Amino acid sequence: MKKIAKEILLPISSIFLAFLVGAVIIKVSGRSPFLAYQSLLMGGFGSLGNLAQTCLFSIPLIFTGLSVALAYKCGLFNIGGEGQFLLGGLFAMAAAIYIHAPFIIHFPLCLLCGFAGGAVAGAIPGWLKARYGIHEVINTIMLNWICLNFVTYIVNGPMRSHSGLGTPEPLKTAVPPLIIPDSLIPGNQLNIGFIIAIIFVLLVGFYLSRTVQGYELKAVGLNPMAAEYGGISISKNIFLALCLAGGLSGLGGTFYYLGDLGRIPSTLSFPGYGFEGIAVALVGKLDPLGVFLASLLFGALESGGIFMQLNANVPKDLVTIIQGLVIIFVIAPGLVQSVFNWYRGKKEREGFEYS
Amino acid sequence: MGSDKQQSILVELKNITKRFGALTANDRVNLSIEKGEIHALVGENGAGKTTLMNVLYGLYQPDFGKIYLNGTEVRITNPKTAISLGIGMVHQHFMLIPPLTVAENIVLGEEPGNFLAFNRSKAISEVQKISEKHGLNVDPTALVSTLSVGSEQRVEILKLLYRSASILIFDEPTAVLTPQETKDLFRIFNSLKKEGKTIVFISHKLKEVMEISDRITVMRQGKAVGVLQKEKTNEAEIARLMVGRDVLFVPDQEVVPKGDIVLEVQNLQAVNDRGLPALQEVSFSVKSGEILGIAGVAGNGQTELAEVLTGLRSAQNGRIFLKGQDVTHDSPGEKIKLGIAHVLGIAHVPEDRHKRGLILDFPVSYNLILGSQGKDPFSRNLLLDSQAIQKFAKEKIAEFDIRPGDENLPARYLSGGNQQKVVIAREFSRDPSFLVISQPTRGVDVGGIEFIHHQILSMKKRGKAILLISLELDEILNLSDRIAVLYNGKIVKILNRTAATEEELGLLMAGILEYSSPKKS
Repeated sequence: MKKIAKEILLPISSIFLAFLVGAVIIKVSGRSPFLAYQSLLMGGFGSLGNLAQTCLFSIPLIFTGLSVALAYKCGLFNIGGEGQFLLGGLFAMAAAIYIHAPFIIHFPLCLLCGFAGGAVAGAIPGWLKARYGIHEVINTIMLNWICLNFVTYIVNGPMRSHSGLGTPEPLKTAVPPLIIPDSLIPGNQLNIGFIIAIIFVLLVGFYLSRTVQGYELKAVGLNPMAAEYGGISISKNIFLALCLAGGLSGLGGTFYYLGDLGRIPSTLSFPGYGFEGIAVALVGKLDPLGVFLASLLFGALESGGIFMQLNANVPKDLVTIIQGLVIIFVIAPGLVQSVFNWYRGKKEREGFEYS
Repeated sequence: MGSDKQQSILVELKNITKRFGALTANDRVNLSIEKGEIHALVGENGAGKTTLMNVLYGLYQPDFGKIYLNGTEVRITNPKTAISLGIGMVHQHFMLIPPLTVAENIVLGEEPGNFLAFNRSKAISEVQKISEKHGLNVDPTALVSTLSVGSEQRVEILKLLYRSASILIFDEPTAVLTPQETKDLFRIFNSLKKEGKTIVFISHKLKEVMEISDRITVMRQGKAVGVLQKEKTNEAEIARLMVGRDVLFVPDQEVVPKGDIVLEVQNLQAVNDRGLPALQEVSFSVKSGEILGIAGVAGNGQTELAEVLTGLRSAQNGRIFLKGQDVTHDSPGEKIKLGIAHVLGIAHVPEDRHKRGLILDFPVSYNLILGSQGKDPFSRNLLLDSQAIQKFAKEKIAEFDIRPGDENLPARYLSGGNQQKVVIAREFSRDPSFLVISQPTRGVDVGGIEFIHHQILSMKKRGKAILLISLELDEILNLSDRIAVLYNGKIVKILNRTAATEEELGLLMAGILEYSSPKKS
């Protein structure tokens, strides 16, 4: 219990520090930090509707965050979340448009296709790394562009709808259903993706901590030479980790395009969730539960930011600044830690001198 | 306090405390070094010797405590300050640039010449001068990449002398040397002492400490527990202070009836990671109940030999038979059969426990099942059985006295000796018929060495065939039944332990083959 408290203390204080610095920035720009943060909080958690919005925004982040965390456990830095997100979305959308089946078959099939699409985008760099040792950071970044252009081509070519806005809308049987009926919280769009995301948080946690495969994957990540000595194949695990990571990002894309957007738009750019997944994974300390909490935080910042802009006249860009600050303080634990150490050290030094 | 001490005290460390997280590496350590002495700093691994010296050299800042030089307090914030104060350090791992010459390496950072041109001839002549003055005998124009380990060390010493260091710190200087090179080093120590230099050296080889030092400071668990005059002490007393109890030195030798040949190697040939020949025409056999020791200086093919035998490296030629069965992986293109050692019942204690033997961030319990993670009873239906893993870990922790006895603690937080016990506990529990044991006690403290040696001998008593690879000649001599000397990838000679002398082995290890033992005549 004490250990958990210690694990959480650092991210929490990082977030606190980030907001503190953010307050200074708001103050300097001549606005009220109090009002800004009040509306940010309101927008994120203030009403059931806002809370639902926060959860909705967090869905793709949970998946891409898990993706980055899982790959990292195998010692891999997955920067390819964007491409995997897009390709997963494309596969799922194709299944959602062209396959006709009842919901109970159609929807899970779309998820499967979304996972597969992402996994393909993960498998390519995974294979290049495992077989030829080409660094995954380079591979995955390059593949992001290939995926973006490939999906743009498909969306504006073979899959183009009559409206010209992008792909057609998914069939009704493929749309992720809402969790809470519209009659209870009017206008809410929170779909079943949130529950499935929570299931995946548990699944990834279970996979990493309870299965032989998870043991081997982590062993490769922590010390490949020792893993090899223990009879664990380095290349197999690298390939597998990037496939799974890609699949997770692909699921993020699935819910985003089938649920939030309802199509893949024709004017496509990087959705940003793949990159934000890196931030989420780092803030979440690369732990599935941490990823979940960090995704909620980022989701709340997203939905609260809109509210803050309307209410306190603080530009939504400030949210981006705060996100950046949170990341800096979390990634540079030395920064926060050194404040703690300095304080503790001071007390101890004093104690020592007088004892 | 510092001012009324004798004038001969050159350096004084007072109340030095250094913490790393929860670990207190140095706990209010006092150390005083007299001018012109050779001072040994001894202690078990993890006792805080290196940390203390890194504090003196400015690599670490103490959390509190003070350093006095000639009675005045100094703050050493980085190695540069240390060097300007005349304090230099030779680390365990040399910091040289192989493609550059000796002279270039030595003057690096303080090159003679002006802004535009490097005065090479002046550098060479200056290095030559210092080298001759101290009898270091290094050619300033030689490339560092062509030097032996002993010569590299002398280049490191020259670096310090070139920067006019008067206090020279050595971190385990003899760990990588042959007995002859060690003798040379000690000759250099004495000549430096004559020049008025002060030497502090870290060691846990008590024989050497007794041979060369004037005074000895013993550390245990981050504390300085005693300062001894060499003339008034002995190895047993130092060992007692280091470990906190009496220590047995030479393990009991028991003659075990030897059985059938378990492992036979014929004409083995293999290359190293750079594709250069590492093993050539290596042939030997090991019987059950026998320990075959492989003696040799580091880098003569030991690593490759252990890896080929355990399936981590493929052989280019030759055959390996385990109980008569051919277990060679000989086509270099073939994928290495991972974990083959464990399938065949070969136990492998790897030479570098951090590199291969342990996953430091895994808990002790996970490390104890590495290689068996997919096997009964540790897993069922692809799932880990944490109860079985915990139970096994608790048993092994008790059996091998692994401390602290917390199976959930990451292996990283164990001392070197206890980490090694984890590896040994795991490998010896496989019930192997053949064991490859490399550097079993490298970086292990005296108490741990005794325990590990005892375990190895008990495996022998149980009729196992053991290949013991070690750079420690004493270890080879104390444990082996027969000794094979590996030089330049070849086995130059296999001797019976009873017929082997340290002197002969030392010469064989250095590649000097023409040696006629006086006993033989």
